[in-house]
Amino acid sequence: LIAGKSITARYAVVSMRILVVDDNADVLESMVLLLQSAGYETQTTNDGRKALAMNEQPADLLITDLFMPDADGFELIAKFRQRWPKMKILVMSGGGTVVRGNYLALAVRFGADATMSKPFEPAELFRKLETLSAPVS
Amino acid sequence: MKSRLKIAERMAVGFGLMMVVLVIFAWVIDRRAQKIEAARRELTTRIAPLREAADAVQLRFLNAAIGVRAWLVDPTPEALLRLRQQVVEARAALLALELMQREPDGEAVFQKARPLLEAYLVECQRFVERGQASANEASEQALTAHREEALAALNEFIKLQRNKRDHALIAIQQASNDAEQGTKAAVALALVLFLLLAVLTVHSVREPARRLVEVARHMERGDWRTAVELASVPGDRTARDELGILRHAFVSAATALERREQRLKTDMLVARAAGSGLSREGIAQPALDAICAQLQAELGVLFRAEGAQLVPVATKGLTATPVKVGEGLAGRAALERRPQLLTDSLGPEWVVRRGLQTVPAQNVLAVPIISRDEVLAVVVIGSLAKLGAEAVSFLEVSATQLAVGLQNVASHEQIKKLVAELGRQGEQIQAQNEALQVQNEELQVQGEEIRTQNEELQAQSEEIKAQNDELSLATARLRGQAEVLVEEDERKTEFLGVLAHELRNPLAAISNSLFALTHARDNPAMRERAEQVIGRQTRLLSRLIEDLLDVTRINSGKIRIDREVVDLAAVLRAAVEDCKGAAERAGTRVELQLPADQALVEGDPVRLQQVMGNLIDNAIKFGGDQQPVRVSLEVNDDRSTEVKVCDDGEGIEASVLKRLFVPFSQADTSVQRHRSGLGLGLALVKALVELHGGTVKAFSAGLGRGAEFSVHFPSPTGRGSG
Repeated sequence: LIAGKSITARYAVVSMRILVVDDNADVLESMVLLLQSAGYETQTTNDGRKALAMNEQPADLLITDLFMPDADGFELIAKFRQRWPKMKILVMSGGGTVVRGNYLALAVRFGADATMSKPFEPAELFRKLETLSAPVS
Repeated sequence: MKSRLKIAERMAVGFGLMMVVLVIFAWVIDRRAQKIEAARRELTTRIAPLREAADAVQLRFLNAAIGVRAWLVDPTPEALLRLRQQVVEARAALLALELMQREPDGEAVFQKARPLLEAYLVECQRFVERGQASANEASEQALTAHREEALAALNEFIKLQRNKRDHALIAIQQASNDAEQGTKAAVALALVLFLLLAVLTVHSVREPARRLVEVARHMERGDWRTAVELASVPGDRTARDELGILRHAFVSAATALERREQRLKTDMLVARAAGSGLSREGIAQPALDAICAQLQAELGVLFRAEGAQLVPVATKGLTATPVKVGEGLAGRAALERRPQLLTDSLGPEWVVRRGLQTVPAQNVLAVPIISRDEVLAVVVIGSLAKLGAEAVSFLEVSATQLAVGLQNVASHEQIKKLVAELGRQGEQIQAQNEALQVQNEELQVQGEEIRTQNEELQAQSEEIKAQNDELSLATARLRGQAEVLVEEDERKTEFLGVLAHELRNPLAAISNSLFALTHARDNPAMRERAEQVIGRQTRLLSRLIEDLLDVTRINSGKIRIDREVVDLAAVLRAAVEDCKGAAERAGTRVELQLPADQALVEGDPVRLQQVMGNLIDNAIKFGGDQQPVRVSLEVNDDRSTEVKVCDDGEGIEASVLKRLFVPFSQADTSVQRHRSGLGLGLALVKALVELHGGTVKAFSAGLGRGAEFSVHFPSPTGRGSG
């Protein structure tokens, strides 16, 4: 964690807590590795229901998958947006552009601040995180 | 008078007279009562007070005399005082009497007595003033004489007044008696008068009332003629009482009824005549007779219209000749289609014989008989009497009836003509019919021929139809195949989408981990984790690619199996062992049930294990939490084998069950799809089992009710490896 901070200090300008939700354990693990190596504080769950049941704002930013076995990503976005209007939401999905319509665009309408298609360049992720962490003008 | 007044007026007169009697009676009684009252007032206000005052004077004077006597006997100052008082009282009484009004006779008597009385009082005064000493016998006697004289005069007056009072009393008594007698007489007289008047009133009312009742009864019985007679008052035709009015109404009603009855009778006669026969003459003469009788017409002609001519069909009292329409009265009536009335004589034939002389008919009436806008006939009536509007209206009604009768006759003739015509036509038709019969028989023969041809055509048509059906069946089949192809294409597209998703996840994980690996060189723990992720996801990717290759091989039929006799129990044990890890991760386990007998199958052990592994893996994936997956193996009597893999998981929908083994169709390809896998597993299973000559079937009671997969392998043939 300390090492990651030193290496990718230019990305982690502002300390941000991030909650990652994805049903795929390895995707989750890789996200943790990626984010920690960039100095972000992370929290994860592969169970969408657990995320839905959260009563206190768990982090400053949510990164979530859309299609999960236990919960609907859209529902998660809508609930989080309703509960914590200032919380940033970033959506990543692999099925977003090929199968039946543009789900990423739909996610934005549900309240997502930004979207990413899997797989993505780590640089792209950090750019988006930087943009989202910038104070609202 | 009796017969001229209405019943109410009679009652009024009777009661009025009674009232007059009552008033007179009351007046008489009142007069008498007034007289008695006046006499009584005279007695109490004038006569009685005078007498009382006179009595009082007498009493006072006697007192005074007693006083004188008392003083003489006992000449005390008290006695003197009392005497003086008595004298004063006597004078006062006298003065009171003097002030009262008196009648002339009483006045004369009083004026005679007054000086004597006053003189006595003066004597008394003097006698007392002279004193005891001078009183002697003589003076006392003189005083007594004075007193006697005065009181005698007063007595005269008193007697007169008494007489007057007695007279007044007697007069009152008399008047009272008279009044009593008079009242009795008056009451008796009034009663008699009342009775008389009542009897008279009742009598005068009863007779007309009785007759009214009788009239009403007769009317009720319908005997209005008697009612009229009863109601009439002989010798007084203008009576204005009830009976008179009633009689008048009756006479009017009777006349109207009689006229009406007569007219009805005539109407009936005309109607009967009109309906009596079907010949014009049979109708015409009786009808004309009835009409003439009703109208009291001496002359009558009934013309029938025949083109432009009017031909007489019935006559009465004269002979008639045909006339043209538009000529004469009858002609005009026919032309103008309305009744014509003439008050001049028409011609020499319109005369009425009266004994030996003839009188021309003054009133002639012609009425057209019209039916359905056609003048059928004209009735002409001649009479010495006046023919009014009533006659016209009657004749019009009768004419209508006659028109109906005549119309009937015309219809009858028409029908007769038609019947004759029909008879002729019938004969013709009969002849034609016979000709037609012959033609018909010919046609029947031709018909047979046509029918035979028809049947041939029918057979051909059915053949064509059968071909058609075949064609449409083929078309349908082709369409079905096309649909299958389209569906397959859609599934392939969908599969590509799923494939992309399945590839993206591992790629994302690998990409992320690579970044971590390069940027965390000095963090061995992170590196280790990243490497593990990369390793796992790489293996996953290669398995996906292996599956894809299998699918491709199956599709192109290039899959190869190495046949040898295999013990299925060993295969199952290995497969279950392989899936143990996955089951643990899913929080479940696999129960394996093996038979005592050996279960031998001819086939490729690697592929067979792939089949079993796939089925068990599926059951773990879709099975319910904590519920074990049950795997059983059975050997049938024919040594064929049966493997069953059961779970209590989410089950399979009936619609999905059908295409479960079709390649590229995983049960759930929707947005919610969440199990990894490409939907190739079951297609692979089916293809592999079929390569081994076996069959695979899936059962499920529905969503949430578990699933069962059953694989059947035939008994080994003993051909060994191949």
